[in-house]
Amino acid sequence: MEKFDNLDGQMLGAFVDGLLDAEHTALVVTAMEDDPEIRNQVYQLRRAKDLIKLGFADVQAPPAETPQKSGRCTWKQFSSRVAASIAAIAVSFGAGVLGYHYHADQPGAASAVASATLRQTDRVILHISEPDSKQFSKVLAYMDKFLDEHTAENGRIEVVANAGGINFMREAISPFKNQIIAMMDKHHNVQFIACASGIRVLHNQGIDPVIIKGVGTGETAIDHIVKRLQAGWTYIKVDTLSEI
Amino acid sequence: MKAPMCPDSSLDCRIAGSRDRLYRIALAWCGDAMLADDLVQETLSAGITKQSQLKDEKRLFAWLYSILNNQWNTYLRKKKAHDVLDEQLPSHEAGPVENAEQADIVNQVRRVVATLPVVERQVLALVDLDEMPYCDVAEILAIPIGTVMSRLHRARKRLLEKMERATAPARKDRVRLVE
Repeated sequence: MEKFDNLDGQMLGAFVDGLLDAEHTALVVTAMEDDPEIRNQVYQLRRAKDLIKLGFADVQAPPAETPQKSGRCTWKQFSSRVAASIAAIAVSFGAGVLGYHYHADQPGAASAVASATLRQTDRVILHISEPDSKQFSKVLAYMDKFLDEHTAENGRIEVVANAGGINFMREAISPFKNQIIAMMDKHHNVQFIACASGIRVLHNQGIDPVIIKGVGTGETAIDHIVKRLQAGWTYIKVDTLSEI
Repeated sequence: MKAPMCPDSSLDCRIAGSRDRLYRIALAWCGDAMLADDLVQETLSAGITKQSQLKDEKRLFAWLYSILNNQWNTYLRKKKAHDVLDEQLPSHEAGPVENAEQADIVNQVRRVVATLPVVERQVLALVDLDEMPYCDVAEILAIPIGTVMSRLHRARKRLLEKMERATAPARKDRVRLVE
């Protein structure tokens, strides 16, 4: 065994991984022939390798639109999901065909807008995630302009709120409650949606976020946005909206 | 789910098509399906938006794994569990592995891997699952090759010991039945 004293576990590991040069490989092979203990060590290392493969080789990623568990839907994660979902959609339809462009206009928050190639400009989904009244004012201004130009027959517009944006959909605290209700009453091609996951988070925090009547609450924001993107709608992240 | 179809060889497509491969590694690292999914989504998103930073497309996977590693470390830092990673010792308490009645070898392996120190899990997954050369693993995890080798050796040894302990009760029961 003395002649194999320099054969430590790490070298045997490298042998099992096929990373030894010819000289050291020959040394290990000779040692295995001469020494049952070395043979056993190599067998055990191979077994460890096989076990890991067996344990994880068949693992497949869940569908991209898998809803988040309550309480784990951070904005960063949400943005990534939107971006990754758009990437998956772009790939599934053929990259470049839908013409989605990515640009990181703020760190960690990928946003996406559809190019004019095949987007449906008469189907628009606006997304707000911050409790920023200025941003929501822009949303309402954009909607007013859109609704001036489109009737229920030729255009639809939706606002999806998650995270802090949900506050605008809450009966008790939304400073825009009356405008939202008036808009929904007047136009049948308008829909507001509050993220189901965000509502659940508020419930878990002991808050009962009563949502304005008529605002949709049945879906997570990511699921709804992905569904609309797949249908060819134009996605606009509210913080990229310029003044109307 | 199969890997997404890649209609062309563009980098966008190749990044999006690497989802399953990244997910396998992420799951082996963190042991939590939802968290693994989040880490992969973050990685894909970063990969797509920062693809101009990839100098050599042949190194795509090493580059994506580096991003995954950054996401994982960020997560661990947020969880305040990353301060003493290198010194982190595996739990010797009787955990789910030791008490597991499930004989399913796949679940057994996953449970045992989840009890290994984080740094060992990372090396083990990259080498044994993804067949990454040690030098690439060293680059991805930003550690010396010697550290890769020592962590890998410890991880395999610990894995075998724990698997032995986890399956011993079942074998004992079978022996009793025979008796």
